[in-house]
Amino acid sequence: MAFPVIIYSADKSRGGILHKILKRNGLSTLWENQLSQTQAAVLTHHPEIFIADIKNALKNEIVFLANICLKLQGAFLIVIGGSVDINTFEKQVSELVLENNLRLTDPLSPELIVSKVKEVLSLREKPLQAQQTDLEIDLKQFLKL
Amino acid sequence: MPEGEDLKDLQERLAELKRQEMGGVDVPSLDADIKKETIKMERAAEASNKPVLAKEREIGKLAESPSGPVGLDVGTTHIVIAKNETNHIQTITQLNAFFTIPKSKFAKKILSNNDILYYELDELFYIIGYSADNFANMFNTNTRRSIKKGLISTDEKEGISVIQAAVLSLLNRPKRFGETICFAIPGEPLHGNGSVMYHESIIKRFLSHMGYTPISINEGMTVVLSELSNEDHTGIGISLGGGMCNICLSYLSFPVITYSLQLGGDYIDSMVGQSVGEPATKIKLIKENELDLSSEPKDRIMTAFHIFYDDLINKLIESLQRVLSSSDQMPMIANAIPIVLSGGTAMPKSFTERFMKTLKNYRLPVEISSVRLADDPLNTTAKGALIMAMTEAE
Ligand SMILES: Nc1ncnc2c1ncn2[C@@H]1O[C@H](COP(=O)(O)OP(=O)(O)OP(=O)(O)O)[C@@H](O)[C@H]1O
Ligand SMILES: [Mg+2]
Repeated sequence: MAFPVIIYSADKSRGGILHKILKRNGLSTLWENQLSQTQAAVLTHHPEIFIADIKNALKNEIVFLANICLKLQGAFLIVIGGSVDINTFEKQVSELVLENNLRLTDPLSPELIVSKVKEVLSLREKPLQAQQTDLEIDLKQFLKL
Repeated sequence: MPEGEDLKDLQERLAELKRQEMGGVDVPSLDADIKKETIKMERAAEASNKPVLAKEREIGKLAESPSGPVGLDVGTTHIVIAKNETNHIQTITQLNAFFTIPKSKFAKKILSNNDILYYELDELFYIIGYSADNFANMFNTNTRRSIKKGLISTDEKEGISVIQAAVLSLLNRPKRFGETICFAIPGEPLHGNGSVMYHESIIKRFLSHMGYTPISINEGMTVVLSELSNEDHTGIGISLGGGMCNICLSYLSFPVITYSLQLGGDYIDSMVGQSVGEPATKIKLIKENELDLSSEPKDRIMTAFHIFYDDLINKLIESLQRVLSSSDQMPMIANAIPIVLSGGTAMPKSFTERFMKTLKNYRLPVEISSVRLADDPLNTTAKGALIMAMTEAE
C-alpha cells in the first residue's frame, strides 16, 4: 500500500496524535519514529506530503532529516517544532532549495495540519497552473503576507 | 477454609517471591507497540462501558489466580485490583496500611485464631490491610503507611514488603505465565518530592517476579480511559486520592500533560485535625461519613473542612492554569474539553459543584465543556488500568 502522507516524529504523543487524526480524516498515513526507517519509507512510497516533527531533535537528526527532504522529489514538506528547532532546520537547509514547504511553530496544531494536508492533496489533483496559483494564494493567506 | 490457611499461603508466597528476587529474573521489556493504538482503543471502549462491581477483601479469603489481564491501583490509602468478567468489571480493595507488634507465641495465637493477615520480619509481626485498621482501633492508636503522599519512600525498606504482602492478599500468580498487569503510577510531583521512577521500578520488579508482564500507566490517564470513551479520550482526568492529586490532559488518548500535587485526603485530615485539636483518624471518619460541601458548616470541624477543601481546590486549579499555560506540550485544541474528577477525596456531597464554582475564577488556556464526577470514584483507577492491560495484552 502506498502512503501519500508520511510523518516522522520521535515523540510518541505528537506523532501518535498526528497519525491518528490524519487517519481519522481518511488520509492514509504512515508514521515512523526512526530516521533510517523514515528514509526507507520516503524512498518506497514517494509521498505527496512529508511531515517532519523536529521538536527537540538533535542537530545530527536535523541534518539527517534535511537529507531525506532532498530526496522528496516534489513532495510537499511540513516541518513542525519549537521555534529554536525550526531555526536550526532553516540554517541547515539554507543551501537546499526547498520550494514546497510550510513551517509551523509550536503549539502543535493537529487540526490545522489536517486542513493543510487536505488542501495540498486536493490542489495536487488540479492541473499544474491552477495548482501553483491556488497554493500561492493559500500560503500567502495562511502566512498573513 | 482451614484455619490459618490464608496466612500460611501469604507467608509462603512472600518467601517464594524473596527467593526469586535473589535469583534476579530479568524484567521483561515494557515498551508498548505504539502503532497498535487504534485497535487497542476499540477494545478499551468496550470494557469501559461495563459496570463495576466492587468489594473489599474478605478476611480469610484466599487470593485468586487471575485468568486474564489485571488492573492494579497501588494508592496511598487503598490497593485495588480490577478484573474483567463477562458482564461487569470486578474490583477488590485492600487497605494500604500496617501495624507492628513484637513477636510472641501469645500474639501469634491471637493473630492466627482471628484470621488476621500478617507476616513476620525480624522481631516483629506485621499486620496488614483492613486487619491492621481493626487492630489499631483495638489498641486505640494509628496504623502506619507504606506509601506516603503517593510514593514509596526511598528510605523505608519495610514499606516495600508491606506493599507486596497487601498486593499478595488480593492477587496470586497468574494462571498463564506472563499475563499482562497494568498498574497506575503517579505523575511527577510539581514540587518534586520522592521519585516516581523508583516507585515504578519497585512495583514492576515485584510483579514480574510474580509471573506477570507489568506495564504502567499514569493515574490521571486511568481516569480518562475509564470515563472518557465517549469523548474520544480527550479531556482532563483528575484523581484526588489520599496522598495526591494526579492530573492528566489527554488528547485522542495520548497523555500529553501529566503531573501530580502531593496534596489529598491525608492533607485535609491532618490540617483539619491540627486546627480543631483532634486526631486525624477521627477526622477522616467524620469526613467520609458526614461531610457535605453544599450546606453551610454547622460546627468548628465542618468549618475547617470547608476551609481546607477550598484550599485544596484552589491549589489544584491554580496549578492546572500554570502548568497548562506554560507547557510546551500543550496542543491547540479547538473544541471545549471535559474534566472528570475521581478518587475518594472527590466524593463529599457537592464537591463537583464546588470545583466548578472555583474554576470560574480561573482562565485555563483550553475551554472546559463540563466537569463531572467519575461513576465509581474509588475504583476508577483500577478500572482504567484494567482497560489498558486488556488493550496491551497479546
Ligand atoms: N466519602 C468520602 N468522602 C470524603 N473523602 C473520602 C470518602 N471516601 C474516601 N475518602 C478519602 O479518599 C482518600 C482515599 O481515596 P483513594 O482511595 O482514591 O486514594 P488512593 O488512591 O489510595 O491515594 P493516592 O491516589 O493519593 O495515592 C482518603 O483520604 C479517604 O479519607
Ligand atoms: Mg489513587
